[in-house]
Amino acid sequence: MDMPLPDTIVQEGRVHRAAYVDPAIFELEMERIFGRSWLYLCHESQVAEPGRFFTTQMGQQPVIVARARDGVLHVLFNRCTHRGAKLATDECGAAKRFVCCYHGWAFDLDGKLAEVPLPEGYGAAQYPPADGSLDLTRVPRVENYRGFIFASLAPEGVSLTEFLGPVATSLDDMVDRAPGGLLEVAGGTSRHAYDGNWKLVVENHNDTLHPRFVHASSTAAARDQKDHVHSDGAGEVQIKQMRQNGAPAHVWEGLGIWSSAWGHSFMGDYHTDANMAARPEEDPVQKAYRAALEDTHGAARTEEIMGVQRFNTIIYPNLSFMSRFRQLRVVQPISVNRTVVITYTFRMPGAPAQMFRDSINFANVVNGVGSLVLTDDLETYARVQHGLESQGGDWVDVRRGLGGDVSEANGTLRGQTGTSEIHLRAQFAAWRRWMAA
Amino acid sequence: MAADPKLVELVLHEAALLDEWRLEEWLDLYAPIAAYWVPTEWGQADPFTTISHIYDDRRLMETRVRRFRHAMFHAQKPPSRITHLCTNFRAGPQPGSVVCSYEVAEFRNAKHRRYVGRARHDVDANGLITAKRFDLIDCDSVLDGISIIL
Repeated sequence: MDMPLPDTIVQEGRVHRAAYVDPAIFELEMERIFGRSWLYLCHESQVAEPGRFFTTQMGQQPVIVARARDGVLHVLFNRCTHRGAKLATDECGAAKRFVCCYHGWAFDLDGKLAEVPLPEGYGAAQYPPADGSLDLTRVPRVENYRGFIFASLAPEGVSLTEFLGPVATSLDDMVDRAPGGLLEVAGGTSRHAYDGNWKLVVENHNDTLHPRFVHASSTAAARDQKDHVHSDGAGEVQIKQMRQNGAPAHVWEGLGIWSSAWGHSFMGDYHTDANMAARPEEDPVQKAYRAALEDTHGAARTEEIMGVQRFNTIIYPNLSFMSRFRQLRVVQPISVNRTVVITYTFRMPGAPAQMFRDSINFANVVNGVGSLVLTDDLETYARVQHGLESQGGDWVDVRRGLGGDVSEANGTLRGQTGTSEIHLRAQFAAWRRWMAA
Repeated sequence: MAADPKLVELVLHEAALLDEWRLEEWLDLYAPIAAYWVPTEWGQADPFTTISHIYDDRRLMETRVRRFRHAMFHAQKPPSRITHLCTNFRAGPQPGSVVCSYEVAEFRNAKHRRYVGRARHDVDANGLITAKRFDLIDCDSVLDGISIIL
C-alpha cells in the first residue's frame, strides 16, 4: 500500500473491510490499541479487601488485579517468572500469596518474589534476587475513577482523566444514582461469544437504528403477549424491555447520541419513568429509592441526578455499560473473527432490594446467553463478519449523519439525529490515531 | 430411588415435542404458574439474585414460543435441527419431581453444538410441569447464543 496503513483503511465516511478481517491488522490492534489504551479491568468492589484478587485479560494479556495487605492495588501479569506457568486460575478469590503450581515460587500480592524453594540449588546466587528482577511483571499504569479500575500496558501516554474526558459523566451517572455512592458487582457473571471481530459489538451497543430490524421478532412477540398471564417479575421486566425496543422511529431519532475524543460515545435513554413503572411517584420501591437518594444528595441534587437520561455508554475500546440499569460489559478480542463479552450487574446496597432483582431480570434479557434479544445480535455479528470476508465490496459505509455533527459545550459532539453513525466515526477516528504509529 | 414411570414418560414426551417444533403443545405441558430455567452457576440458589442463561416465567415462555413463529427470528434462520437425549432417570428430591441426565444436540448453519447436563422437572397433581431446571456442565463457561428451547 502507498498510504500509511491507518489512512488507507479509515477514510471520510468509510472503512475498509480489512479492519475486520485481516489477521495482521488484528495483531497490530492488539499492540497499538489494546497494548496502549486505557482498558477497563474491574470495579473496586471485586477486590474490596486486602488479599482479594481478580483475574482478567487486557486484550490478550492475562493479568491479576490484587489488593495487597497495605490496601494498595496492583496489576500484574499472570505469569510465573520462573518457567512461565499461569499463577492464578480462579476468576477471583482471596490469597496470601500466589504460589506457582510448577516449582513453588511464591509471590506476594504486590508481585514481589518472596520465596524460592531450595534456594541453595542456585549456588552463590541469591534467590530471590534482591534487585527484584524476578518479581512479577507489573502493568505500568493503573488508575481508579470513582471505583472503576482502568489500566494501561504502556508506561506513558494520555492520562486517564484526559482519556475519559466528558464520557466520565456516564460513570458519574452510575455512581450518583446509587444512594451513599455505594455500588458493588453482584449477581454472577455471564459470558457470551460470537464469530466476529471485536469492533462489531462495540459498534452495535450504541447503534439506535438496529433494534427495529435485528430485534423485530422479540419486539413483536412481546407486544402480542397477554399481560394477565402469570409473571413472577422476570417476564414483566423482560417484556417491557422488548417492547421498548419497538419504540417508533421518532423516539430513536430524538433521543440523542454523543461522541467524544478517543472513540467514546453515549446515547440518550429511550426508557421513561412512565413505561418502566406505571406511577413512579406512587410505587413504594421508587419512593424508598428516591428517599434514600435524597438522604445522600438532598432534594435538588437528586432531581438533577434523576434527570440524566442516558442509556448505553461506550468507553473505547473495551467497555460498554448502562449507567441507569447498572449493566456492564467488557469486550475481550480472541482472534480477528472471535470475540468474548463478559457481563456484570451492579447492586446498590443503599437501595431497596427489589431494584437488584429488577436489575437481574434486566440482565437476563440484555446479557443472557439465551435471551430473546441478544441471540439476534450475535447472529447479526456473525453475518456481518461473513459478508466482510467476501470480495463483494471493500468498504463499510459510515456516513449516516455525516456533516451534521454539532459541538456541545461539554466537549462532546452530538449527532444530527439519534440514529447518526457519529459513534462509528468517533471510534474509527480513535482507531486511526492509535494505529498511526 | 427409581423414577415414577409417568414422570419419565412426561419428560420424554416433552423432548419429542421440542424435537418436532410443536412448541404450542410444549407450552400446554406447563402449569399456569411455571418456570423454565437454565442457570449460569452450578447449584445456583435462585434466578432472582444471580443472572441466568435463561429464566422464563409462564408469561415469558409464551413470548419465547411466539417469537419462533416470526419471520425475522434471525438466529433461527436457518432453523436448528435438534434431538434430546434423556437418560439415567431417578426420583427427584421431592414428590412429583424427576431428575435425569439431559443432552440436547443441535445442528444449525453447518455447526454441531451439544448442551449437556442434569435436568430436573417438577410436576403438579394435574400432571402439569411447574418447573424445569437444566444445569449445564459448562454453565459458567463462555457460551454462544442459545436460540432453541432446551
